[in-house]
Amino acid sequence: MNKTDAKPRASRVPALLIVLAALLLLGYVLWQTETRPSTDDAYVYADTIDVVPEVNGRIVEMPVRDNQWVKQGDLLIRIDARPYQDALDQARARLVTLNHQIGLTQRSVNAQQYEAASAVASVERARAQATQSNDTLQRLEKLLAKGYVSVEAVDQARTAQRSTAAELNASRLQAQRASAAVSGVDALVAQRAEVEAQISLAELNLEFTEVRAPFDGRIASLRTTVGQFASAYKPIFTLIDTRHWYVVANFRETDLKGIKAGTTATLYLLGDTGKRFQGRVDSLSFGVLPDDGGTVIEGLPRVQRTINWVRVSQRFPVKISVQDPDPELFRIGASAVAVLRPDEPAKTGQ
Amino acid sequence: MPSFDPVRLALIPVVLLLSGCSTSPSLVLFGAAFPDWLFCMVGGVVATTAIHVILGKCSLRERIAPLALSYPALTGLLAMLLWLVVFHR
Repeated sequence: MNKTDAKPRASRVPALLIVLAALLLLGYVLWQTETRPSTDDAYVYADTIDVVPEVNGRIVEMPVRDNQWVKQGDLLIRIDARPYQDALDQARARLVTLNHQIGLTQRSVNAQQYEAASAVASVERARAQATQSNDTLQRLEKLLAKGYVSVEAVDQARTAQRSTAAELNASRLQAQRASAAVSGVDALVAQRAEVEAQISLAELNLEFTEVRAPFDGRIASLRTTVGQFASAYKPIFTLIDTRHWYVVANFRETDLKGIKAGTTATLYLLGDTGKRFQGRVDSLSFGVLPDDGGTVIEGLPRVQRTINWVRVSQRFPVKISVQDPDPELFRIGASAVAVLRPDEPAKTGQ
Repeated sequence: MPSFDPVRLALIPVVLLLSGCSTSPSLVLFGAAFPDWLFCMVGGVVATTAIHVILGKCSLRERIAPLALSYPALTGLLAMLLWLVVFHR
């Protein structure tokens, strides 16, 4: 009996040790989960663009297929280029016409310039005549006092002097008119700039008939083929930018303390949980639409009467940039799991 | 603490085998992803059941009395150990 009494007293120690160990481990585990927050509310994301033609036309060539991988510069769509080629030819022909027109007009301008020069020369002639008749008049007036010449002769000389002066004036005006009448080719040369702009616009439109991949990527949601009339600015399909992959993980606001751009992260994809990927926090979201509050109905904010005793913390998207992603595994929207490690130095890896 | 030895001895090869190994915090089973703690709890319960059977065969159960306290603690301890070994990091 003595032995059985002693046994239970002694055997409480292991039980207490187990409880103590469990509590210590619980503390450690809680500390670890707090310092390394993880979430499975995450998905894979990559930037996408709508592939849009910039000119109208029928698609005559489409050498890509749905889900295909394309390299930067690969031809995606070719639109019937004939109308745009014709427009370019037309604009070029207009330039040739204009150049010839400028040449022709220049010749008539030259003729006008010669005409103006000859008018200036005739002013000199009129001036010489006017000077001569002026001299004659003065000479005869001196002789008239002595009575060597008749009054009539002096009158004739005066008339001639006035007539030649008027002629000089007329020829001066004519010279001015002729020089004013000299036109130029400036307006036509200015038109040349306009036509050149039209040519480059036509060249650009012709270039727009070929849509090429702006980056390495993958085709998505391609649902048309050759023969489709493509309207400008209407998307034909989507191109996924496979150069940069991200995981957008929604973390609780309570986990975001100490998380900043550059924090290291470990990522798993549910497509293959055996593979782990390293990531780096790219940025944190600074806005989500609040569930309650913020709604204004009929000009006044709507406030709920009910209030929750237990408030579930808000989640914010954290954008994590993936390092060395597996191109076969990463798909937009794929489920992912993200573990943040703010305790690790951000400079590791790259 | 002689009663600890079977547990510790059983865990040593497991720890050695799995140390450094770390799995995704969510595991896919039958097309759905289950959280890691679910597997750890199942593992803890299974391991505690095994210990219960082993202790019963060796008539050592009363060594860790009261069982109402020690078994839940043991289950939690084993579950958390499993988590640390398999899923941590």
